[in-house]
Amino acid sequence: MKNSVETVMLVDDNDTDNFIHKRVIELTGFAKTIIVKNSGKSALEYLSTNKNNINNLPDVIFLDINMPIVDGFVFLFEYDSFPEELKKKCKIAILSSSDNKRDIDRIVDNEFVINFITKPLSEEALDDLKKLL
Amino acid sequence: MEEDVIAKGRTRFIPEEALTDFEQHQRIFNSIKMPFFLNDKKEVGLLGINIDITEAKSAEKAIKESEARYRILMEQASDGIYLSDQEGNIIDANPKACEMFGYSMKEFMALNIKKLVDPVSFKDSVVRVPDLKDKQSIILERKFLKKDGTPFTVEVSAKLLEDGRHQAIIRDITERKRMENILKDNERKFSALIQNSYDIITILSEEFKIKFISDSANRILGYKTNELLEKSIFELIHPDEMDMVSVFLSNTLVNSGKNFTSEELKIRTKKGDMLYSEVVAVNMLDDVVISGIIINFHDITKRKYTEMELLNTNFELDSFVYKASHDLKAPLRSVMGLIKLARLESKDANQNMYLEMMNKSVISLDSFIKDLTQFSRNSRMEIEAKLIDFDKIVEEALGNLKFMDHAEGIIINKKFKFEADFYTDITRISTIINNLLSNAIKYHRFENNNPFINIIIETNKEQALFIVEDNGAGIDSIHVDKVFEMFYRASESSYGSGLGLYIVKNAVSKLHGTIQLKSVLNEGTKFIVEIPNLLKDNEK
Repeated sequence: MKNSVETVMLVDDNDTDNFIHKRVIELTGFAKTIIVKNSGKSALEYLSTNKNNINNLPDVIFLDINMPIVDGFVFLFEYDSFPEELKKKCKIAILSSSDNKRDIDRIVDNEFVINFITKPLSEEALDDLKKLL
Repeated sequence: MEEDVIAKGRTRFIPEEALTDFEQHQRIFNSIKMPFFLNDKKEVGLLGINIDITEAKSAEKAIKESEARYRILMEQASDGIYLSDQEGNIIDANPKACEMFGYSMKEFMALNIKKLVDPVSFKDSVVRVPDLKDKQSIILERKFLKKDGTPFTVEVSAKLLEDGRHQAIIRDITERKRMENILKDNERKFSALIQNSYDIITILSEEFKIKFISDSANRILGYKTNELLEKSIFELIHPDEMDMVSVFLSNTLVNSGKNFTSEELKIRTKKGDMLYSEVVAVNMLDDVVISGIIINFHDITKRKYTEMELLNTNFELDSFVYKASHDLKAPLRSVMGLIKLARLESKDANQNMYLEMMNKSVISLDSFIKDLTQFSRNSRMEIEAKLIDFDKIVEEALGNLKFMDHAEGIIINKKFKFEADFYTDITRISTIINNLLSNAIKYHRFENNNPFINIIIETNKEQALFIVEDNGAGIDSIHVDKVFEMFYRASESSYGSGLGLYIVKNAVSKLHGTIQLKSVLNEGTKFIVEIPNLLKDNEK
């Protein structure tokens, strides 16, 4: 367990939510650097570009499920093909407005997902997440 | 005797005299013994003439015995017997004949057979001499009338005797006739049922060839009945099902008398269209009358298409509800996030109060959307039995509820006793537990200095008992019957949708369980839920 997280990445097509989550993370001091991507595709591109540059990679990826084209499930499918080193560093937390059991069960089974957080992101949720890192 | 003839000089006739012949056999004679005078009537002799009547005598005896036997037969026969002369006058009858017609012997003997025959059938029912002249007896059926006019049907065996008299032996077959008619009627009824049925009924030979097929085959499959006779039953089966039907028929063949059912089998019409049918088969090859395999095809095509349509509609509706609830929820969660941020960053007490009130409204809207989704899913989704971890479900539920107002002040007492693994639908059981616990917290009397909630769960092989008991606000008895109704809100402090308990009740009945409510206003409420264990179904 680390006291503070270096970098996190927010992946959500909803800019309002990205703003909220960024602000909550800033206010709570959860991470020093926050990368914001408003599509699954651009997030994958970023990871792909930086796959050999471990310092630029986020420690935690907050991933929304419901996004156009590359949604959370597609993102996870593509993520699987990244190098082991990357996958070891970047832990994924689902951050979704869904509390549908079907979604939760389906995505929690994924080996890279360490937690499922229901929106809105709260201080408590971040505290819980920190314990899992 | 001889002395008497001689002494009195009188001739004597002895009708029957038993004498022994030279071979020591006794024979019977007509004897005449007369005096015979010799020497100018001085000496008397005896002249005897003996006529041997032994044969005639024994013939007479035989006739007498035969007559007696005939009478006994007449008296005791269970059939009616009468004799008539050439004009049809009754000249002899037995008691049974009299009884059958309802006459006394005396009355009967005075009748002519024309009186006995039902005039309606008279014309064609007279026994005509030419019919009998070959002296063979003939058997015919005809209607007679009793003394009181009641008609009855008899079987007559008539014979012309050598001396010109007629002998008739009659048997009352009214009852037999009646049974025959009932049988005929029944046969007509069954045949009408079979021919007009919407099912196709067939009888197959041991080689699965069609020996009988009901007319409904024409209506349903488009075949003429005789087109199918002697054809293999496989001609009616859809190619996809050949293997399945082979197995099905082989099972039927080796299990005589046992019913085999296939709930859904594709068959094909003459044109090649596909129909869905429910099939019942039973092997009755051992039955002398049927001597075949009976197969009943029940056309369920319409039902099947409706079912498929319904499944599709359900699927569409479910997708719609899922998408709609997500799209409603997402912006709401954003608002919740923004309120949270605003509160974190604002130091203004008034503003914080407003934000808190906004937050409450948004939460209540959020939970209403959740209720709607749950309701919609509960009513349509199939039950999926899974092993239930009550500890986990209760913990999760309490975890979700801990942020409710005043929740932290309530003491939760848990008493769990698990005697067996419990299987049921996990989504529905969670819905039930969540809603009941949320109500117990929501409607607590927080002024009560010792608020508690007792959660009791007991499982065994048969069922699970789940009790949630609180010492909260309670429900006024006038509302108790209505709390499970849709959109009914029993409390003025209720800020829910009025769907919670309605959903609970629906979920309970989906799981084939029961729910009871005991409540006293201002004292507390107790919900008792019993859900059957699907363990056994699951083991299958």
